[in-house]
Amino acid sequence: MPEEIILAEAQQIARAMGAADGVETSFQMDEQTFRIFYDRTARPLWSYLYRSSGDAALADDFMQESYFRFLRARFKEMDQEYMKNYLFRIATNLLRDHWRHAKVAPQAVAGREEDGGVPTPEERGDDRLQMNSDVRRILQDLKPRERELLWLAYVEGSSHREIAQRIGLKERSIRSLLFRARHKLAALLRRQGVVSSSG
Amino acid sequence: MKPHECENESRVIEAVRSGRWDADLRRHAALCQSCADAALAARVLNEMRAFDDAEHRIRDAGFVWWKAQLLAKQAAGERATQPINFVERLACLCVVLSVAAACFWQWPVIRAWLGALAGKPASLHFGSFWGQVSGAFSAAISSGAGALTNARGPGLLLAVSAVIFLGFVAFAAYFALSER
Repeated sequence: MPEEIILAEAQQIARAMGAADGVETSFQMDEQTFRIFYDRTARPLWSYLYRSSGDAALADDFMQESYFRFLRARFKEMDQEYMKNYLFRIATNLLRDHWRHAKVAPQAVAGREEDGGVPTPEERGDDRLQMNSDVRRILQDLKPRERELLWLAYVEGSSHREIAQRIGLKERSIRSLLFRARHKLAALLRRQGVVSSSG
Repeated sequence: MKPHECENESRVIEAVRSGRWDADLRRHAALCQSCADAALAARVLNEMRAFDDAEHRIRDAGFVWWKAQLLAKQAAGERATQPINFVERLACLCVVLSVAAACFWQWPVIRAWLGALAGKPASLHFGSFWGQVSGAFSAAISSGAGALTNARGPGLLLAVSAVIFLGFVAFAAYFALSER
């Protein structure tokens, strides 16, 4: 279904519900501020959720849930970085809860090729897709926390302090955890012979 | 394994992320194991990120906003109907307890009535049913009246009724005055 139709329906239902029950939703953030914040954070958050879980549908759901919980929160300060860290912390907690309650190995979740977000290499016959698939398989061999750490450090460019805030660890333990995770990933990439197109 | 972090590591990662390398840094990354690992990991992961950006369409902010509003309204609605549901359940419990208490209180009368029903021929059961019911109720009422005139009965009954009544009044007042 096209997104515009879903959006129109959602607006219609929300208006109808608001009129019917007279319930006010009081988010601390107004819509305009939210849009700006969303445009800045949605892509990184989705990638983080997707690459940590390996499941595009799950990443979609958790992204929606993360923003919902974020909007309901009350902030003492409306600092953008603080709010972004808070949002990622919510997302990380959702992932942890999912793995804890589903009682499935994160590796098993991460192995799904048919999750709807990204086409398989066979579907597209593309080298980039093949490499994406290979790397995704390699990422499955890492622990969820290692994937989270690596993603935040090397893709988001987060400092150790920010990583600690986002995934709820002590700042001083980030350095060694990150070192081990990076060493493990590099070894796996070399062993599997995965070399990026840029060399 | 002892963690070793090269001082150039952050520069290497930034160079991978931005794609701007200088010759010295590239040479260093080729020689330093720690920086080589960091560069490899950062390069591969950033390619994954670029791939996601190109392949996956993110939902519109408006959709997420409206859905969050919808969920918030739903949650608020559930919160609002919680007391009503609670009172409904409480009322059901009161009815069940009242019936059980009445049965317990009037058990001799009920037993006598059931015994009378069992003693009559089957053909008479239906015809005399209402007569027996009214008889049983009369007996119950007279027995209840007897209990009320008993020395302890009325006081206890009134006290229990007053406590339940006050409980309901307090409960109703709380929900009437509460803002939420």
